[in-house]
Amino acid sequence: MSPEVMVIATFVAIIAGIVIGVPVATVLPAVGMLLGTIFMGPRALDFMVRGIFAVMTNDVLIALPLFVFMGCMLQSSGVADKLFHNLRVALGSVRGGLGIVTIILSTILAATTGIIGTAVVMMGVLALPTMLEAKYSRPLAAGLVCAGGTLGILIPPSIMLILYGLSAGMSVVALFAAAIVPGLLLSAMYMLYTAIRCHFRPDLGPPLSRTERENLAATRYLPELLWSLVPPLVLIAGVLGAIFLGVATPTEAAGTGAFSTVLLSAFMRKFSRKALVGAARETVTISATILWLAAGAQMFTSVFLAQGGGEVIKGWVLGFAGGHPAIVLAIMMLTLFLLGKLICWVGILLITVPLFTPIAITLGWDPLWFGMLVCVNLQMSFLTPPFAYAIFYLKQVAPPEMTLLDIYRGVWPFIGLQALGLLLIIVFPEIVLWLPGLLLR
Amino acid sequence: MVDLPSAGKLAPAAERKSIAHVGRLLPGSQGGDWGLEPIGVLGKWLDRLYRAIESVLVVFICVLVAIVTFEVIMRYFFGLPVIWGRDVVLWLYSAGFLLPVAYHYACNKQICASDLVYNLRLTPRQRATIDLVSNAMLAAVAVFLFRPAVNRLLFAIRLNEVSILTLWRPPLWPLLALIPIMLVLIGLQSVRGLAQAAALLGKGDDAA
Repeated sequence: MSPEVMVIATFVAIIAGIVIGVPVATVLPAVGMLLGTIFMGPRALDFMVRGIFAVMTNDVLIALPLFVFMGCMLQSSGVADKLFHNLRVALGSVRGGLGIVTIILSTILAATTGIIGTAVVMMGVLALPTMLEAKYSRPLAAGLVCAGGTLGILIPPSIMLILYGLSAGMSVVALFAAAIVPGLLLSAMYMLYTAIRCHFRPDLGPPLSRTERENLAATRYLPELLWSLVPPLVLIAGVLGAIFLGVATPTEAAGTGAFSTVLLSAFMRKFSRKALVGAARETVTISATILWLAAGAQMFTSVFLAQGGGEVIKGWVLGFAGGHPAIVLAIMMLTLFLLGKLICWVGILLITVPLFTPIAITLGWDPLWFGMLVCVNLQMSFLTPPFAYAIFYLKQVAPPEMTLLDIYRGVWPFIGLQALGLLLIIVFPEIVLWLPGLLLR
Repeated sequence: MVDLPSAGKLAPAAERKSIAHVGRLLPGSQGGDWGLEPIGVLGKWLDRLYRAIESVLVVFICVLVAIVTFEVIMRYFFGLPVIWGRDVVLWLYSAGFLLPVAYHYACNKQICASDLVYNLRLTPRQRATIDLVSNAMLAAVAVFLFRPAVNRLLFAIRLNEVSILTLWRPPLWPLLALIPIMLVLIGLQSVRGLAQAAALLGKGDDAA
């Protein structure tokens, strides 16, 4: 069997397995095993066991359950409640102000957690009913919560960046530094879009009435606003500051950050044994499923790459349209986008990054820049139906009058903004490369 | 809040009637009807084991957070690095990721794209067929990887292999032992899944 036929057969088997609903973490090692035993004999099985052990002994991956625990614990800490109220008072008089508050708060939450569920659920419970009460358009409100939530997977600390580091063999600290500006850029674009849209169509996001504002602002809100900003900012400074100043490794920062959220929860008088056990249980589920998939992907790629599969794909992609960089990039980005509509980002990242990264390096692209293109692209996968996690989360916590159609209609403008953000990063690589150059000199 | 459950659990249209769930909904007697009493017993034991593993891992996660924090505090504030910290953290993390794998298969929490075909207008027999294929693949992974995993473990025991992460140098075998344990668990889970899928296939579309 020629290597080309091997690659086609492998991907047909993988896609068929995934499409019919077999867990991705079963498909990858099973296909890898079949491939390995045909071409390499029993040696392939040793390779695969080594793949599991590589995930077990990866120092940086230990940060993953710790960041997940941090996010789960933060959700029950009530840290966002007061901040939301005070920001609402501050920006309530502006058209679309509540929407902007939702994005600000989602951005702050994104810098304290590495997952999207936390922000979507918290904003879905806190901001969504308030926006609907304030007569916001249902699609706009839904889109804001979903899009704000996806920032969690891009703005560090982020489990996507940790997994990217594993797949591409890159420094997680550098990836964290590179993701800050793109994350903030997207956040600013969401806010600008909300402000402009609501300015011209005030019925979509009306400001609070004077009476409502006076009722809300009965207390001195400015000192309270600053005070309510303290806990999340301390957490952000403690975790990201420690990482970028080189004081702590991502794992150490994740551990102390997780411990700090427990303390924060106690400080906010929201701590309970039930909350702790619930957060730990969620952590086991989320991190074990991701890590087992990571092990499955390692098992598959170790065999697939050893058989020259990576070289075949590289040859195909580079050979397409004379290997023009713009076309190669377009093919890769389109592949990621289309896969993002069908399967979860973890599977896409773990399958495609080991194959795409050598192509990017061959073309002389900066690995950090390319990494961010992949991550911003995968962010869209949270919003693109049918397989869109942010929509699933929101539907779970949204009031019954919020239909799926409302949510689908609401997320499209934000998918467009993410695509625009991606384009900006492609045209202006400094958006990605400036901060790592400054912080990690 | 779960970041990455199976899409089936969260998708609005996703009433995934998986075989793994059927096993829980119809315990005992179902196995009896189809002459599968041993599978019913196996299922009960596995469920008990999964609950025990989950309870232990909940403690592990809390201990993991505590140890990493303790290590950082001791090193940076007291200048006393903890020699055993990194290895123990690695054990807890590895146990936390490998031991619940079978359990997550049992309750359909492994990441899958079930909304593309599985949840859309399939008959119970068609779903059972997919589950049969899925569990057969899982069984193959467990069976074929078991021997090399045990060989690697025995090699580590024979050579007294130690971890080289820290000066503590604990033996490596406890960490390596987790791989065959995990494979045994997913092997048993796949046997259970295969039997339940076969039972449903035998019953036909009325089974749902």
